[in-house]
Amino acid sequence: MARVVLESVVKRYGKVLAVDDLTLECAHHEFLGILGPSGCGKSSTMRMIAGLEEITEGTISIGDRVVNDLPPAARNVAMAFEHYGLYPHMSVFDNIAYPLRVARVPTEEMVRSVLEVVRMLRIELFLERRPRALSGGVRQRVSLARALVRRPSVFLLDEPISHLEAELRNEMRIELKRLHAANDSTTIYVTHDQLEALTMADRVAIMHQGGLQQVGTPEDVYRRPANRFVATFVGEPPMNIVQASVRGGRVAVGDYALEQVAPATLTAIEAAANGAGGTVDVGVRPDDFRLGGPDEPGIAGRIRIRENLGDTTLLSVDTGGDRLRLRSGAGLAVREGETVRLHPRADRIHFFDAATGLAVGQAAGSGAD
Amino acid sequence: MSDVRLAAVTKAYGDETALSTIDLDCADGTLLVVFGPSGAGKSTLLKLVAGIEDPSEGRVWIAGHDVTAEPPQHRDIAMAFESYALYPHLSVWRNLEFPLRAPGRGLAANVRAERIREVAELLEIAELLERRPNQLSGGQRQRVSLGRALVRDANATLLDEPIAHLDARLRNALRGELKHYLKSHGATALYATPDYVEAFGIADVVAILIAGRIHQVGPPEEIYEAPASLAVAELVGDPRMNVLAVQGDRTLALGGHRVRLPLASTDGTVGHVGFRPTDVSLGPLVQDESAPGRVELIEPAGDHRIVRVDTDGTPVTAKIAADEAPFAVGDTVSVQLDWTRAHYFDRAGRRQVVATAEGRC
Repeated sequence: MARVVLESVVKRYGKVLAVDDLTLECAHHEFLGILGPSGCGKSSTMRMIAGLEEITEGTISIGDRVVNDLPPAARNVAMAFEHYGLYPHMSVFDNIAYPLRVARVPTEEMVRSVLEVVRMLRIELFLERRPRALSGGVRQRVSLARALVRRPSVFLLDEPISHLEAELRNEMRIELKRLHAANDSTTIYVTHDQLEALTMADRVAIMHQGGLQQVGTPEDVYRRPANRFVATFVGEPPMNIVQASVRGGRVAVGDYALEQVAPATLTAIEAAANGAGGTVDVGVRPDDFRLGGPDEPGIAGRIRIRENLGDTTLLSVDTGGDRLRLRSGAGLAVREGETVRLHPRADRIHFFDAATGLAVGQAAGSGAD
Repeated sequence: MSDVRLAAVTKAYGDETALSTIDLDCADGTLLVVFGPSGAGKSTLLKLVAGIEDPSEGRVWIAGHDVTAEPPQHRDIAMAFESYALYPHLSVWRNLEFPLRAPGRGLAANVRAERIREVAELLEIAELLERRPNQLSGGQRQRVSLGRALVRDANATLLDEPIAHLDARLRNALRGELKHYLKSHGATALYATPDYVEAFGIADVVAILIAGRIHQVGPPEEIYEAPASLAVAELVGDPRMNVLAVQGDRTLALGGHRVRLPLASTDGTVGHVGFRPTDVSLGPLVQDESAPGRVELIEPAGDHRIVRVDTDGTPVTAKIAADEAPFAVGDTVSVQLDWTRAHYFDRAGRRQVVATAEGRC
């Protein structure tokens, strides 16, 4: 059993607080994504789990054993990092075989394991080369191969596919997920790419400025973001946030009053607006607008940009104060320059305290499923 | 008028042909995207227009003039190529200003400043104007390089993967803004990218370049709806189109079922049928009505999910809304293909016009 548990973990570099009181659990055989922008503390967290950084405060345990004082080699974890850390004087084959040689795996088995992993990562053709004779993408795959070849109980992957081309990245996402499913290991995966985290992870932990913002399934963090940061970081294009005025039981964006706000939600919105100058932040995902003509109800705007992406159309709409992004099905019959109304789907509206950024109430229906 | 035209242009390096008989017309004020996999010859094509490379055969026209023999500096083009080539000793501001100060441009200082500010704001580099290139990240350098191409009005603007090195979020945000900027300045631009979303998001017209040949030219919606060949169809769309091989004359094997193509007539033998992932739906398995498949992988992506299904050895990808009925990996489901949206190709991979029998199969 390789459960990984972080309890009240703190990491300081001098006066800089990199990780702030992080408590997080990754269950046995779970695929946990740690997602956040650069500088959020996700890589420091990973390096502490791996044993490459000291833990300032708190405890980390792997398989119910506290590993704070164990060296990396004794933790039974394998790592692949964004910066490849390959041995420049060794061939690709030897780089990948290295952990097995150290572990004194018999030659025949060693060769078999290496060949298996290089086939999966499609780097068979490069086995004789030295790392510097490889492109960045291939080097990244070699680094990944070296982590995978050991079949450890915990995989730590830090941006392992971020340097690959789009097409290969898509394939590798699928391969990594298959690999995880086929092995009995636990995977912790650090990325700044929200799509990678959503598509691969069983649960996603979102970090920002050293602190944990939310942990949940991809659907949780997408549909029920705990705060404005999570709401806008997860999802592409990002969730639109507009300011609304709250007055006399009415929540209005410009001249458009939102419809069907549940009474309980309205009470929570009014309480939040009291501390935020009578306003609340309204969040709507680009998929959750219906586009109407200028005489229909909704937020008024003018189409600035239309992008046809085949099965979807992306719009950027200028509402005077804001630029809202909208995504709709194929072949949407509107033109740049046209005046439209954006009608948000009532059951998909999010509210955030304009002062604290915390989610307020629940959009009608979004908490039910 | 500042159109760009390539007439029967071929480019060979020794025995290797990089581009064969390219005929391409980029009308005045058009954003033409040259789209294709890496190694297709996209950069070479742009370099021929720039005058950095000379064609082996054929002519290049810019703004109505045959410029084939003209050096780059006589062609009045602005360009941003993948390698940034900024002046290392100049600040970002000076780098951006450089194209505006060239002899004969004669722009007043306040006009130059206004242009630089507009471009810097567009590219989100307004905070960096005082820095030197070596104080910038790769993504920031790429934006400065792009800014230098955008800052002045030229006969033609050539952009070779100008936002490839930016992170996903910025790339997605910038794509539309870049289009807006180029259109509102009336620019005639050639833009090369291997990224499907970028190509289709930006383009007025897409030219599909594969292995040195133009396979199709048209507006994005036309290419998406009617790809001229299997090669084009497989490049266009994310996830890729599902391509199923036809066995014998008119039968498709799917999940152990033999499905007869709903065709009244064709002008040849159908070799392949393609279905976009959005035209595949999954449902509970009904008595031998439709092909069964086993769910191999589910990728939730916010508002939709990508589901990979194995149908008796043939993988099929479906893109379905996130709020459709859930499946789990390992479930057996029925795989339904929307035959009204099928794409037909002959054995050589060329698009086929077919007459379908009534109704859906």
